[in-house]
Amino acid sequence: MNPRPSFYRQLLRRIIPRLLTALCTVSVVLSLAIFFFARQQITEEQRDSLQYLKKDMSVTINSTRQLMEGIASHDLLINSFIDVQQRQNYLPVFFDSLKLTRAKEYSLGLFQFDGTPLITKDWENRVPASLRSMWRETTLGNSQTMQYVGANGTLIAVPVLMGGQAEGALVLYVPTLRDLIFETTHTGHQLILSENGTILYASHADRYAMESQYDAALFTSWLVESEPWHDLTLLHQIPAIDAFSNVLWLLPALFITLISAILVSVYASMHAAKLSAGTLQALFDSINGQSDSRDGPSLNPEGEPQELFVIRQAFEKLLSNLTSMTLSNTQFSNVIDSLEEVLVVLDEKSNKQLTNRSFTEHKSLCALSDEDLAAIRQQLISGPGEVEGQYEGTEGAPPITIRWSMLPLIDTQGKQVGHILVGNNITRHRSLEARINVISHAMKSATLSILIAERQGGSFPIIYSNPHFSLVTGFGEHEVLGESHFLLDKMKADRNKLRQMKSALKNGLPYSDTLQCYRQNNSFFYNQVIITPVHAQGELTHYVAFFQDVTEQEQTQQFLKDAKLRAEESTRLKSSFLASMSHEVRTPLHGISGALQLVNNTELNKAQARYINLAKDSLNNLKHIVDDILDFSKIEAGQLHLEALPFNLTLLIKTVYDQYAISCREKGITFTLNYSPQGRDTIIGDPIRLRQILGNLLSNAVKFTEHGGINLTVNIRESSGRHRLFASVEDTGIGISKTSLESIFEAFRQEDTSTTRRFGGTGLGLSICRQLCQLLGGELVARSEKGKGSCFSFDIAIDSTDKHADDNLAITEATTVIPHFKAKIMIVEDNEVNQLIAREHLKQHKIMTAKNGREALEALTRMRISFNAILMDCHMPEMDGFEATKRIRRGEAGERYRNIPIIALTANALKGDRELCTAAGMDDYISKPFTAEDLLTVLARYCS
Amino acid sequence: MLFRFTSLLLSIALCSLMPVQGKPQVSTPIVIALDADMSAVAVDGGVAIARGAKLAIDEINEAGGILGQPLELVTFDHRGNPARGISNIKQIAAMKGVLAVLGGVHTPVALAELDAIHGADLIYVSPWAAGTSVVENDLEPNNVFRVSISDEEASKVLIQYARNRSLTKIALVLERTGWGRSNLESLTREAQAQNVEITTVHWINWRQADFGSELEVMLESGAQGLVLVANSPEAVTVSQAVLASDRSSLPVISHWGLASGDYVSSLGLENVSRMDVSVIQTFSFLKQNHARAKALLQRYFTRYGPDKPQAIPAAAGLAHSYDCIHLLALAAEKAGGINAAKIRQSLENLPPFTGAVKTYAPAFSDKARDALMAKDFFMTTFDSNGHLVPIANSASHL
Repeated sequence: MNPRPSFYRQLLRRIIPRLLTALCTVSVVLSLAIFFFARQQITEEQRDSLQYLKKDMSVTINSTRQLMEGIASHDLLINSFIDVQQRQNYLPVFFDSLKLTRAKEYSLGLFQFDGTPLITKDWENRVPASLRSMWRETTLGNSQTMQYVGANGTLIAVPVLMGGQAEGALVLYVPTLRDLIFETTHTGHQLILSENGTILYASHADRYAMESQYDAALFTSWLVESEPWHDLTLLHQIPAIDAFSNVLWLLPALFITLISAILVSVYASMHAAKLSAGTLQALFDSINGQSDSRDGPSLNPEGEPQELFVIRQAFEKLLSNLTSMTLSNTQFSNVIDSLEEVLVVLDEKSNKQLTNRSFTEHKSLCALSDEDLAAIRQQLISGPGEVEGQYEGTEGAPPITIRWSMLPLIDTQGKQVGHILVGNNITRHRSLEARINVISHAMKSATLSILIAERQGGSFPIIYSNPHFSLVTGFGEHEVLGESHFLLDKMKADRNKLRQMKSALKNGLPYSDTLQCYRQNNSFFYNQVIITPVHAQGELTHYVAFFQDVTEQEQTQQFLKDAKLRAEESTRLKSSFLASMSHEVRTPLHGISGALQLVNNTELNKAQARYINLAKDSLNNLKHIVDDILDFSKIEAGQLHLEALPFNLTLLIKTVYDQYAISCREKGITFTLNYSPQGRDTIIGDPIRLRQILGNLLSNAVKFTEHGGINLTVNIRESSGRHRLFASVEDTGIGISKTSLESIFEAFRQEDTSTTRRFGGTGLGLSICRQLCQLLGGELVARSEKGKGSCFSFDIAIDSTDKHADDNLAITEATTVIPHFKAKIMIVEDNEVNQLIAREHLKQHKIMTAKNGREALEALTRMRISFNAILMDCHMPEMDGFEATKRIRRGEAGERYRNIPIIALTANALKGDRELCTAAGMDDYISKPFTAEDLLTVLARYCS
Repeated sequence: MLFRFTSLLLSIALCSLMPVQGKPQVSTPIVIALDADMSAVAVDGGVAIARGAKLAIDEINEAGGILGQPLELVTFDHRGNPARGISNIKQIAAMKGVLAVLGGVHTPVALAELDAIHGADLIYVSPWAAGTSVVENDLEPNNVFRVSISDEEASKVLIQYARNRSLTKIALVLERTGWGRSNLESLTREAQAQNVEITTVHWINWRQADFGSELEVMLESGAQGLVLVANSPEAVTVSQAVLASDRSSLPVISHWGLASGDYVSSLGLENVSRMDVSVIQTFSFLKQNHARAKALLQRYFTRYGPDKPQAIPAAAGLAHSYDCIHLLALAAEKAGGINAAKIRQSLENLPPFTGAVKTYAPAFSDKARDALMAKDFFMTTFDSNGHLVPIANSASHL
């Protein structure tokens, strides 16, 4: 008998040949289909390409023709036929301005009714003789447009019509076809052939000789499509090999795919056959193995098919029934061992017959002897049903308490043959009881009210209240138990808070707040309530509430709050007062400054000039002090507003550097600048404040440095898209001691009082600088060593911008050239000194003064002369500057003044004034004290 | 290159060859060459001129022709195109027996032709083209004579009419040609002399399609009326702009170019009636009702069918042309030939002659080439049928 072929071989023999045949057939059909459709697509593309070419040229010619027709009917062109005398003045310009074609080379001509040229462009030298007059018959004779596209070029002639008939013609000639075609990239070659087969155009000009004869024999292995157009033939051709290049690469791909498919299929078939055969073998093995070992269910091979799994289960069930019988003995001992209780079986002579695992464990933990067991047995035979015994722990372990009970041991004949002792370890139970006792005592004697409520359905009746609760609230325990909401409604707590509390209870949430409550005797108290939910096994079972009488704390807190508010208000008032006082100081300061300028302009002897200079220096110092105080007050009063505008940082740094370089030179110390703007000249920030900080630090450095030098470092750093400006001013001056270093930033502080005497100053500068830095999103820090020098460094947040800043913003001190002008100006100002100063400064102009807004309005209405500008003080008696401005803008001073430039003059340097002035309709703003230059610069802007 | 003149109308108006004393006449005709726009923009003017000439020639030939020879009208159409005009003159120069060229409506054509006319030593008589420099052309000898309005004279009448209507601020609208420029000069001078302010001057191209923005500027300038120097198509463009504005009754005082074409039918009678248009004229069958004019009217009705006297299109052109031919015939008879120099001399020394327009006493002199002067002009306006009728008391007092 022949050996039977294996299942694996049988499967392979059947599957593989069929699979290979099918794959080969599919491949052949696919290849044929690809080539068929590729051929069709190429032909279509060629036709499209030709259509596109045709359309392109037609559109070009038609649009050019339409353009020409439009121009031919242009009235200026027609007029030029009539206006023989003057047409030379405009016709050539008009003609030259015509751009009718995108062609680089073209000829254009405008012709008279009889074909004589009126004006032409590149006509005689470019247009072939055969085309020069071919259009006349059609265009001039029949008044019709003519178009020619041929071997000699393209020509379009449109009639210039008058009374429906041609009185002239506009003719365009383009020599090459190429100029009519938008060259695009093609897969093939586009050609245009003349009637007699010469090549007029080729998209790949390098491959064909223009004007040569097209030889079809050269292109036998090419795919060629053609299309007639006018007298020409359009061709599209492409080498077959190129045309099919798109699909040729598919052949190897197809071949590889086929081979891969064959390999994969063969492998898959083999694997499938192997899997099937293997699975059957595994089932056999596993069943075979289990019946041998009988030690549990058979191995379940991974990914076993459902059918085999069912077979296996059925087999296993059968096997299990067979084995269960042998298990009961083992189970019994397992059950005994699994009991928590200690179990000892004693015979009548108290000898141990059987013990469980728990007994063994306890014996190892405590001193439980066989005598103890006999004694217990004796006690239980005579005494009560239960007895407790305490046993010393072994090796320092805690003692163990066991509660014993006993059962008789009956044999199969119903005769008692001994006892079964059952022991419960109640050590833990006992210690819990003790703990509860302690806690309960603590709760009872606590000086905190405690209530416990138990969840009963949706409500929480109180089940416990401690004595302190009764003591504080006056409600006895009997009045409390069973009540809801922790009695807070009886204590007349605020309704809203009560609602919140109830809602917390409903949702099982904790709640805490301070409530205003009333005791039983109706006396008021602040009740700090803390209510917490108690969960057991994730279930809300209880709430515990702690009440505390916090009446005293509450009252103290309220008192402190009031006190703080009063203190803050007082500080604000003080700062505000200081700020406004500084303004008041500025006004007379301005007066003095102006008066000094005026005196300085008069003849002075040497001594007088020196005194005036002294006075000016003192005044400048005073101004700085007032400015400092003003800034400080503004910061304190929260009235300081910062700008965020683009400015030229490089220019600002340079200006600051130049300014202090002079003082350094005078003092004989060096001054170096390290500046790296990282290519950002313009940034967004507050240039005034930056300048103020730098100026302050530098003037300190100059002031306190006698030898060595000063180093200014400025750079911009960027991190995660944010920009910061870092700057430091380092000097080799007197330095600051460690103890003083932090306090120098406090207001009115200098390093010590002797410094104040030696160097002067308000001591506000650094404090202001630090606050400015903080307001600008940065910090100012100092590092110093007494006697060696100091380094002040700060950083501020800035924004980068691509915009170019208005350079004037940063360089307020740059010299401005004031143009010469003469104007009639009205000054509205109540302060006589200021009036006088402004008048003096504006000596070369016509000036009229008014003491307040009302006077100004009257004067403007009454006076015959017209003013060019008004300088307007803001704060004046009777009618202030804002009101006066509004009235002028409303036309109350007459129509002619509705738009007159009004420039505010004010000592009120606080931010917000500018907005007020603008809102009132003023055009500009000059801050007092001002110089003659300030006045003239602003006035020049409006009057010159 | 040979080019066919498809547009050339070579119409020959042969006068009836009347037998003189029973004997058949075999002499070559004397030619009057009409060179005018017969088919483009001033057809009414061209036709009126041709008809006036034909009626005069009929009359002359009925009376035995000139110097025993029949007079013949050969018409050339220049379509208002100067180039065509010059071409026409060259053809006329090549013809034999030409007594004179009778011109058309267009000043630009006449100006362009001057060199060719004098180069061929042709006598040129203008029954219409008004450009001052057509006659005052600085050529020596000057072969141009005119029985028509001259811009120089017309300006006086136009400005005086504006003044009479209390229009002290006017705007000028002039065609952008030699004719427009000719008027700018004379109108500016007259306005200054008569204390009328010219607020703005606007130029309009031939075949310009829109005049709205120019009119807006004009109205803003405070002009109370406008003086229009343009032919019919451009006059229509300007009128349409006036009608579209909120000042449709703005006084339009027009030179007579407006009357040379189909202004009324192009604009529409209803539109014309909404406007205030007045046109300078020299002749109206309603105004000139003396025997000669009546006889002309009669001949016209006989030949071209009866109608209302005021309905005859461009009647002034008809009358001018009619008088021109008679003056030429008179000059030829006097000169005893058609030699240009002799005809010129003869025209300069004509005896008084009563024509349709007026009695010329005499028509020309060696200095005065214009037969009509400001005092012969008057203003007309359109009646409800779109016919020009004289405005009472509008005759010039100059």
